[in-house]
Amino acid sequence: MHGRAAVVGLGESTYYRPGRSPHSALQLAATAIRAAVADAGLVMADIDGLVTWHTPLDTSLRSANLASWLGFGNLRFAANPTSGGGNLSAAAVGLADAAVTAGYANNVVVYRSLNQGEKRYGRSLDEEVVSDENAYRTPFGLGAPAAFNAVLSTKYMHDHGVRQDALAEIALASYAHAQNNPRAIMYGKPLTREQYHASRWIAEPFHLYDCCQESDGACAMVVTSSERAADAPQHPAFIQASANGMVPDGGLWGFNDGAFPSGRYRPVGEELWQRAGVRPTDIDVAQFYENFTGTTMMAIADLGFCEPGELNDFLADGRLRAPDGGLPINTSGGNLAEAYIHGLQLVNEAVRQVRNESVNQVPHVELSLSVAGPGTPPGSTVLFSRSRP
Amino acid sequence: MKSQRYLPDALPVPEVNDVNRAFFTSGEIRIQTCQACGSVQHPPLELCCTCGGFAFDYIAGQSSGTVCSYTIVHHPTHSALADAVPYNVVIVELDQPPGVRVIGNLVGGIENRAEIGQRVVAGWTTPIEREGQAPVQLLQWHPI
Repeated sequence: MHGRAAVVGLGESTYYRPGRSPHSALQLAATAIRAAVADAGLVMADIDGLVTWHTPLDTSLRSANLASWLGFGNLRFAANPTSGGGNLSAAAVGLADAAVTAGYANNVVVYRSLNQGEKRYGRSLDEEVVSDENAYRTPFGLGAPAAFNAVLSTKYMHDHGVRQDALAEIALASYAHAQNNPRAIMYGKPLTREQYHASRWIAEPFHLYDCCQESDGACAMVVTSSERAADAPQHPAFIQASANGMVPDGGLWGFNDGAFPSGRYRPVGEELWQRAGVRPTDIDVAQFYENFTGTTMMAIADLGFCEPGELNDFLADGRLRAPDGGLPINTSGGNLAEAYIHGLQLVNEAVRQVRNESVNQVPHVELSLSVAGPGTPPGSTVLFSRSRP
Repeated sequence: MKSQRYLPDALPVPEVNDVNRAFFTSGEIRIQTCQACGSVQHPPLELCCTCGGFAFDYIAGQSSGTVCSYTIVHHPTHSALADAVPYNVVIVELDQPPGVRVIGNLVGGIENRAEIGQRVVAGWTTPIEREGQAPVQLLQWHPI
């Protein structure tokens, strides 16, 4: 067991529909980071580490600029996890954990800020020619993440007999939880099973409600040592373990990896459980990145919560619902119904569950998991505990 | 077998380079094979993932295969696709070399649909011109 670092501060901006934020990506980042630092009982000059990530499709705030503009102390650690997008949120926290545990920095901010009015996700770029992996996808109309993950999910569902209703369960859980969350963009917009099945297709097997939102907003957290966390005003969320990665050939292009079709990160689960000294059945609540419900389905099986052939039953009968399902997931509404801050807002919710502050609080949470990816490997996981390991 | 491109011509085409030229411009299934160790890999790269070699041949693969997965895209994510939806995208596992999966479109299927396990044969678009590179011919699969 690990647990030498902990999350002690959380912050977030208001979440907006894409392009609706009155604030720039920088202003959103500043709002979230200031709130997280204050929540940690710290001042900006106490911050000496910064972890975030960007994609070529969004606004890039350089770490050096941001640290100076926000008034950090000496910047002793700055890093980005790589490569991909929403697969990296837990990896970002893992990187901050590693820095604090190694003594490279004392108080590390992890943040993500998106303003889709500045740069837009979810579309192909308007180019005459495309290179690298896109050369094998875009010319055939496989131009955006929904379609990439759709072909992966079609094969997975075919091979393991997973029904559409299993995907519906994931979407319905997120929407049900969002109805108790005033921060959620889909607050006040409940979803029924009938509406789910009647909704338009995006890329089969994904209906509209299988696909995450695009959002404007930012969220942030502060990671510090478990010793310093003892003096923090909030109950710490101790980082019991983090694991990330993929199978050896998970990075091959064009669905030519040996693990196809899967999330390609079965070994990440094995490593997480070994490192943490717990099993999937010990987990009280989990936040699973859902860029699309199909990838969440694969993550649940890859990490060992059930076998792929058991997904229809495992996801049914309210198991995914707070407060008393066997594995409540995405208790703030997730990417589907709260907001899509590239999945980092799911890590904030995992911490809130440890702090007993969720709008869909699961009783007596000791172990709270956050899972990023799969879809684009490498995926990542971070497991928080309420007790110091 | 040559046919009109299944998707609109305004959709981007591959940028041709030294390692993908055979696959994208020959109008045949040409699969990269390492001269040093004989390993087959697709998509082609500048590096053999098995032995690290830098030198390759591009051997003829069999033009038949089986649909191993697909999607039907209903939401256009590129301006050129606005009037093309719904359309299919298939992943085909070639009969030879074994295990090689290639992405393409299925032409002439029923209502643009596809099925896992469906047997298909390769065809090609008529050459597509883009300034500064050799004309590209893209794979288009036909039901057998």
